[in-house]
Amino acid sequence: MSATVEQVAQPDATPQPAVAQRARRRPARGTVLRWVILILAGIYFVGPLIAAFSFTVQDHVHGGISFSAYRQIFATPATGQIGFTTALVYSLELSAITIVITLALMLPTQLLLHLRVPRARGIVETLTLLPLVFPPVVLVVGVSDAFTWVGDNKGGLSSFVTYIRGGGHPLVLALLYVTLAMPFVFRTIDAGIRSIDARTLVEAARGLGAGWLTVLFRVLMPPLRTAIVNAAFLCFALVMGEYTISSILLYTKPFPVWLYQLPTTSGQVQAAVSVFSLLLVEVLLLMIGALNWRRGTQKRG
Amino acid sequence: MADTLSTTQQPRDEAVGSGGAGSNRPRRGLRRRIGASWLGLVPFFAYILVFFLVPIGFILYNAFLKKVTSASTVRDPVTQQFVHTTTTSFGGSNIAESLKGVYRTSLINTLQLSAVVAIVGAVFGILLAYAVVNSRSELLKQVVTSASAVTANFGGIPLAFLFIATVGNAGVVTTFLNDHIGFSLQSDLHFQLATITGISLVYMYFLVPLMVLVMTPALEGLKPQWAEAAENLGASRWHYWRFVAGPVLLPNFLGSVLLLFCSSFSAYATANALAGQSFPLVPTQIASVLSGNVLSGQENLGAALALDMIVVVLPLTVIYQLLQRRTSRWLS
Repeated sequence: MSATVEQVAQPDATPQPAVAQRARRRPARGTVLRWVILILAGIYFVGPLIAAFSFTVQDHVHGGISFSAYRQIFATPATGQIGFTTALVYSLELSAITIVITLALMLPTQLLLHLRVPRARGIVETLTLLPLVFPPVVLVVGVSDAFTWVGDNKGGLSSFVTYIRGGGHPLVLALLYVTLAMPFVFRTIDAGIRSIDARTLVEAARGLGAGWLTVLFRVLMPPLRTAIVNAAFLCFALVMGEYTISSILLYTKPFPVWLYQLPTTSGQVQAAVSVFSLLLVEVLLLMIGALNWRRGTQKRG
Repeated sequence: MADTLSTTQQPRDEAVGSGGAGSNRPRRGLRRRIGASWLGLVPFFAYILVFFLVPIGFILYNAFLKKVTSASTVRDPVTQQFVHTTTTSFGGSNIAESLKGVYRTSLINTLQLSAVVAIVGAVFGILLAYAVVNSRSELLKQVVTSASAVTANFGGIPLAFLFIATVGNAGVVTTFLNDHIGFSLQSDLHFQLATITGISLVYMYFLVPLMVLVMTPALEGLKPQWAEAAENLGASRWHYWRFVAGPVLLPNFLGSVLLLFCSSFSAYATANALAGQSFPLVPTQIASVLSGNVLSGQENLGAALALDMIVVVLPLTVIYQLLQRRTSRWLS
């Protein structure tokens, strides 16, 4: 136990020496085995992407290659159907709302934990981990039961529930996604705050006469930028892929639900949208990874 | 409220040991200010209460609440309609129902599937992580780490369609093998996506990257000095893995197996798109119950099934946390 405490208390003692060690490392052994593993992994992870792509461009009628499946993605939907852009924009809006609520809730809370009430850390961290124990498919049962109960009892709560379930922007999805994202967001922001000396920064800024808002936005936010971007991206990835809660609560507009309900005969359009959406998320994440990597190397050099 | 919390949390904080706060305990004069700071945590606690603890509370309550709606022969004197009387009783009947018939099958299926994919995924994951960590190419490391982060989160519907297009009944690989080699995945290998083999194959796609993500830091934490020290003392490669690296990695590895188990145990979207009701799993049964596919009076079966899942996942998560804590003694 004492070892744990010591390590937790000195968060930034470890990361840097790894670079120096790596340079001194002897030539790696088991090279053949490594390449076999890497090639097999490559086939398994890239193969389905290539296969699915070639599936989407097969022309069953004339033979050869056709991109009609991709054209159909953006085609005007039949009346009564939701189009690709509608579903995508809907999910983007949901993720924007989720990110804003998450950051507004977690950043002040976690800064407070580090600066003022470190003894509350244990309970807050435990609470943020709860969504790992109660997965979405469990949480949605409780939410649905709660809705039924509120509906039966018609208290003052029912107008609140009607509002957050409202047709135009079902806030309830975003509100639930915030809790789903918490385990990951907590750790990301926590690592960010640990890597800067928040207490000293705040004391220095306060000593120089900065107000609390200045401290928050102009002193603490800039060094936490990477952590904030990472946390936001975690929320984004979660919302863009979330199917369980939205489908069980019968929301048809979020992107994955829309994708599942696509009326097709051959499945080509569904595969096309899947490939397209994966590439979209992959490119975004690689961009963020590259951003972090560059910042990391700059710090080292 | 704030004061009681701060006093009850005192022992816990020492156990967690955040920022060495245990040593400089607040002096009496600071007490009021600390109390005010606790108020700043109210939004967080309120949020968790309303959007998490209340729904979970409903599950625990409803799982034991049996509703019996009886259509009686008595007519309402005013409206002349039959009076439905709903009586409620507490007991384990929902739970008992959730462990019978198709629900029992689904629980066994889910446990089997999760055990298989957790173990196989963990083995492949640690091999891949090892191959990547020991590579000298920074680019490869960066690409694999980023790609793992994407694919670990890439469950759900698109993943299912990707595999349907590849090895589904009309998939590219399926038709290619059939047309050119005369080999049928379906009849020669008995491979179907809507079986435990098929679903396992697809689940690996996000579980192996998850394993890579959690094992890479642990493997990087193995200090080269340990290997050198072992070698200087005459240890063989096998001795090094058996007596040095193995024991150091074991808690982390076992913890990761539990993590994979839990994440496949609770996955819903991919299974639903691949198999629907043809391969019953607890999550898909829950969805089916919630969409109304139950007999009258069994509305709370969903809560009972959810409770079954909690009973499986909760102890595993606690063990996982304990293993992680043990891991941090050597690796960080």
